[in-house]
Amino acid sequence: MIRLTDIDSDPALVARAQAGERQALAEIYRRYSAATRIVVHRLITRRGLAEDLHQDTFVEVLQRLGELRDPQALGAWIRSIAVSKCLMHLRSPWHRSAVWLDQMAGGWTRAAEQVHTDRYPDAATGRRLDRALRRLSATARAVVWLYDVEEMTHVEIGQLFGHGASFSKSQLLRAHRRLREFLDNDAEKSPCTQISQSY
Amino acid sequence: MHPDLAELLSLRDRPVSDGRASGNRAALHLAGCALCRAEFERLQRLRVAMRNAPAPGGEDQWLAISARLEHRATRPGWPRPGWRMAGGLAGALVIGVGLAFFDGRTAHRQDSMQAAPTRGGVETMPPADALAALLAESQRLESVLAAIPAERTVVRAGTVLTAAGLEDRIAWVDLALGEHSARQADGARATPLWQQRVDLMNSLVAVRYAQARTVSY
Repeated sequence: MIRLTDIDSDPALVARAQAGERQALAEIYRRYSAATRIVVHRLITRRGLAEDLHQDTFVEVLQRLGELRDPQALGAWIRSIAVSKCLMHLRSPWHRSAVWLDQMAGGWTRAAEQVHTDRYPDAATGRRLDRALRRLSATARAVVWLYDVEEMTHVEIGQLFGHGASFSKSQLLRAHRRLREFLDNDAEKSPCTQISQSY
Repeated sequence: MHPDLAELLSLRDRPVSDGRASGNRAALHLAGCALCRAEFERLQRLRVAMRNAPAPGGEDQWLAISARLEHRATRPGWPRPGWRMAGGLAGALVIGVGLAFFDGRTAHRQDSMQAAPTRGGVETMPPADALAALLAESQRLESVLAAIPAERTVVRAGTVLTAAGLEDRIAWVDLALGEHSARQADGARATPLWQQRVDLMNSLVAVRYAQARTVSY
């Protein structure tokens, strides 16, 4: 997995894109799209919404590229725009109404998310982790991902949520407790012997 | 005493090169406690597993992004600060007028509460009148919904999901109303279902109206 901040920035490419060159804009999208998609899909579990936000992120990034002063910071800048779009969505009435409707409709979300999970044909451990992360609250999932994977500091994460570092620390702790609980329970339910599918 | 999760996370994120020399209590404990060491290693493995998680697949969105950028670039007056300021002032004026209008409407609605089929209104009506009012309101909302233009080509997933959820719930209420009608049960018992239908229809009309009014990118 590649992170946005791990991608080597190309100042010449950024300069061409800032000058409005079409090919350079497309190249920036191609270089940073996959890493951005990872962040957005981790913060927003609904696949369709995550794709919308991924697109919105790049429209804003490419439109505001002229504001970027340090081309070396392009990855971090894209990440900040993507995360801010995701958090804005999580605070929106759309998100709250969707959560409410999910509760009313029962298993509808689980069915919708299953489609997304099935796109990971990786080992069982990866699927268990994926399921456990999805079961966290949106805030806890965002904090644990931004801290453990994106390596943002507690101060930076706290600021994104409009709180201080202590908010991020307590959310991280809660997220790890829940992750452990989910992973342990999931492990107990997993069969130790694979049942043949050929019956 | 075993270190707690917070201490282990702290140690994981700020490793000490020599636990004994640093005097870090958790690091010292870890050196001699297999149980805590296992938990510490589990936290490290979890972080590695998260970092190695496969990337989600997705469509190439460049064409859509490119089209949106093009559209914004060609929008008349878009980048001019003067127009933005004028737009902001006009927006503030519209909101101000809208709020004043909304206050007036609210006062009017409170005056005519008896006639309107709102939740507060029907509760004060005789059961037969309440049911008739709800039926009439449901029909009115159906015609309003039918009059809203068909959805645009570019639709946000959030809007679609919300509208689809509301439509599903209306379908459930309709199903319940159908069963109620088949049993020829007391009409007054259908009132809560019709009230629910009217509430859901109101929400759906609001979503569809917002969707129809959404300015294209």
